[in-house]
Amino acid sequence: MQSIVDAFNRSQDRIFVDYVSVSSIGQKTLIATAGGNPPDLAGVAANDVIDFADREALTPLDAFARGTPVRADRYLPIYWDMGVYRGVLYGVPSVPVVTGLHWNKRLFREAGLDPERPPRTIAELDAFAERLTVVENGAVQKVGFLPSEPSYFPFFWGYFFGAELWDGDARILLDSPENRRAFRWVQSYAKRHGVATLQRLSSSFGNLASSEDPFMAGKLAMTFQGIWLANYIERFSPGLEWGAAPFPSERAGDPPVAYLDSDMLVIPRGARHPREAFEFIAFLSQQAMTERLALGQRKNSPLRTVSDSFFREHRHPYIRMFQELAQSPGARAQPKLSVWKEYRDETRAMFQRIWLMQTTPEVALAEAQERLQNSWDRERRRLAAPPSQALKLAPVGLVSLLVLGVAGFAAVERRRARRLAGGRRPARANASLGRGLAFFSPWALGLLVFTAYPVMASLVYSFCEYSVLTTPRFIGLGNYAELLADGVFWRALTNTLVYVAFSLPLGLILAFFVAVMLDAAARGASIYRTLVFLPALTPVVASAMAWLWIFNAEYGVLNHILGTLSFGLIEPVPWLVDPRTALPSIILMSVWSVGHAVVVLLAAMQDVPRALYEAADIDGASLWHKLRHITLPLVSPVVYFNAIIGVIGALQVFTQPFVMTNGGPARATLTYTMRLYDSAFKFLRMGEASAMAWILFLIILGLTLVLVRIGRSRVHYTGA
Amino acid sequence: MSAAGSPFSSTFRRHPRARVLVHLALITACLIFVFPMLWMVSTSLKPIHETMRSPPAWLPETFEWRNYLETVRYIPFWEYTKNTLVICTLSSIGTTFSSALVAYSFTRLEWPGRDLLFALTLATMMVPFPVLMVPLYGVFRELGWIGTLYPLWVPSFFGGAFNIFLLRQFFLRIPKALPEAMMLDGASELTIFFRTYVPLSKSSLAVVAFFQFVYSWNDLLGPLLYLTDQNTFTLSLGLQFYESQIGGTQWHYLMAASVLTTLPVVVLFFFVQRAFLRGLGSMQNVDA
Repeated sequence: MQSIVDAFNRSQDRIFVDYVSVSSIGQKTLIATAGGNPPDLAGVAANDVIDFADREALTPLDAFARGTPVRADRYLPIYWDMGVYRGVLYGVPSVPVVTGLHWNKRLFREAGLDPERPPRTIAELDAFAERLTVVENGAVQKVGFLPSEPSYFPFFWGYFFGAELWDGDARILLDSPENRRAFRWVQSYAKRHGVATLQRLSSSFGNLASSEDPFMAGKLAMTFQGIWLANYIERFSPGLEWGAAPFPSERAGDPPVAYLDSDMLVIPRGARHPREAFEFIAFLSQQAMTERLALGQRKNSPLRTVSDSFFREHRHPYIRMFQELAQSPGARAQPKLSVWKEYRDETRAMFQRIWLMQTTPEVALAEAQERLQNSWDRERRRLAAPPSQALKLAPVGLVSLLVLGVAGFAAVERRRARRLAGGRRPARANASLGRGLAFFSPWALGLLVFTAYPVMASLVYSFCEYSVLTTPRFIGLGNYAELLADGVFWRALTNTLVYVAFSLPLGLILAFFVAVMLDAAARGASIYRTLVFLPALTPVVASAMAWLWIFNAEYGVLNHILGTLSFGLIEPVPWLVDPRTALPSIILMSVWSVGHAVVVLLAAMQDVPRALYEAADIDGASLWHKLRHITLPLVSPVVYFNAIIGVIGALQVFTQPFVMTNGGPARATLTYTMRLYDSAFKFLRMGEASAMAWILFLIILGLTLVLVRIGRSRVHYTGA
Repeated sequence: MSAAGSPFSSTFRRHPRARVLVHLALITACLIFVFPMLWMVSTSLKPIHETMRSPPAWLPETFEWRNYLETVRYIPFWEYTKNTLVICTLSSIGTTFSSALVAYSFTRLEWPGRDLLFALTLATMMVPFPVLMVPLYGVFRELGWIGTLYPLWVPSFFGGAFNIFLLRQFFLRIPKALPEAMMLDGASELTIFFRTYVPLSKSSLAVVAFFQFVYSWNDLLGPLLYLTDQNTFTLSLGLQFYESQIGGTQWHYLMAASVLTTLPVVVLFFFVQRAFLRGLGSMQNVDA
């Protein structure tokens, strides 16, 4: 890409393109656009175009494209179509990809198959796979084919059986006879090998970007992979003898089916130089430039006409086959649904259930179909709701009402005070109101602008479809209904409640006992106290790093210590890697930083009158009795106050899981605030995020009320 | 500090050895509490091959001080520190000053609507940040503040509910006779505030300032939302960004960066420790 940018910069002297390569580009572009400070031009994934266009985050390109080489008839229709949403052009393909069957010729030869003849039907593929599978001493050493490898296209298998995923309009087509055949076929592989064998086998498979990838390591003979695989083979397994062909379909003679995707160039909305940015797109769209880019990355060309020199200079051995495959009538891209991310996640989960033999393909498909159809119906209703400017003013109205209410209440109170004073104006009353308000004024502004307005605004947004970039559309309880039906929402909520239920009581109990001991230790107490307090001072990100390292499954010191202390009896624990231990690990870490509670409790304990203990000693009370019946009741207001503040804080836990596990593995540490952050700032579903925020608010109110109620009966207040 | 009021006194009288046990338990506890930080420092001084050794060595064989130089060179450490200091300093000055003024109006002054507004103030402590997050983003976007440091310190100049509450608790203990005497001498409310309340509550003001400083220093979500340009990153965000870039391999650099992020707060703590702990103790007698 850099070389094309240089060529463009040399070709003219008005525009200078500064090329920046960043990771998770789609995400960052969206956030920058929402923040009002987008790049002029961005390269994003094809399905991001739909997502962004739906949130009005992209500049329509039709007007710019008129009279330039950026024309539909120059591009292969499927690639061109990836940039078009609801009839408007938003993106232009830059570097495309196409996928096909890759096979290991050496393994074919060893199995007595013709290494130059790939399977041409699914039935042939199954027969080859059977012959290619090698079992030694009861363990599978090599396997012919696995529909679970690689894991990125679980939605795609139906296409080889003639299925579709969506009718282009109102219907989701997941539950169809074709898809049922496809997923029965998927499950037939699980049945043949057995779930346990497959799990053992796949845990020995490495990443694509490593020589431990099963295909490159020679453990998997055939795989459905993209044109990019050649680059990885050359880097990680240069000696591999391999071939590539269209992936077989169920019926012989059908046009070959392939999965197509592309990087797309888009101009975010609000970009400062859209005209100049498009000039670059047009420059890149010239055949010579597009081919040069594809040559550099060893991909195919998105254009209809391909020059001879392209094939001559191309360093991919199967470029002609892939270029033809991209033009096949059977070529398919991801459906342009604005709920596609959800569709993909759902099919992934469905695939897992079928693959692990947890249910039949029929049941899994019917369930996924129902969920996706519901969510697509909701999405369509939501898209049909009219946008309303008035909704933007509603929060301001609510805040004004609040202010009037407070003022009214104050006026009533004042009149009553005047009446009590016998009708006379109490001396200094006006002056004191003025002074009071003057001192109060900073907070008045803080309360209004930084609290009351946001609270009201998020309440209003929670009933809307809203992405900072668009005018809100009123959808009633739509967001709430969607959340309550969303498994991920419940998962995040459960994780968070588990976190609160364990980390808070454990922390307070630990803090109580440490404080009791500090209270007893006359000498050195201040040194101990400082040391115990230090972890609470450590920035959360830094302590998360330290614990990440301590928990490390391979070199982590915690496993080493446990192993040594138990004389090797405790097996190394895969702390943060295993879904079962990840959340407990984070709880353990949170308990470590209770220093604050210790200091506060200690201060309270030192205020306990000494005479009480002496009286108890005279009565012959035991140590436990004194702690239970004197210390605990007398410090209970502090414990109680810390519990309330702690619950409110812990329900919002974000940083530790965000830094340490990013919610993984398998969403085991996804917390409520992380999920909320994702919906708001990853998917720009600000309405849904606001609904989540209000649900959290209600939970906090509820829990606080419960705690207050408990406090009334259990907490012991002296004096006051 | 004395053990006079401790429930252990009689136990210690009967079994002098119990005192040793308590100290042993405390030393163990302290070791556990401090260990992760020591391990962080130890790893930060190891060459990379020593970090990947099993079983791990407690101390580096060769002390690789260069790790710190490399880290500072790789991440714009001074830039991040400067940004963090700007935010922390301004926001602790802002919140201490404004919260004290407001707390004063809630304690010393009597005006209609005061108690209602105080109740409202307390109630806002229950509002979780996520509720404010989305609309605040919209407000800052309208102001053109996304990508600048403003969203991270300007709001603190308008007070904070928790700080107002803490300071009010302390102000309530200041005897009323003092300001009333000054009042008779014709002093204005501002004079009373600055001449009596501020000097008398230095340690609690220090607590509020220090709390805010540490809060801003540690905050990740705020910078994550509002800062878009690497030049404006804070240390916490920079550290997180650095980790997400280099992934889980170069632990010696990551630990060095973590030590550098932690050190300033710890140093600051040692300076204000006395005032801080005194103030914290005195403010915790909550009877709300």
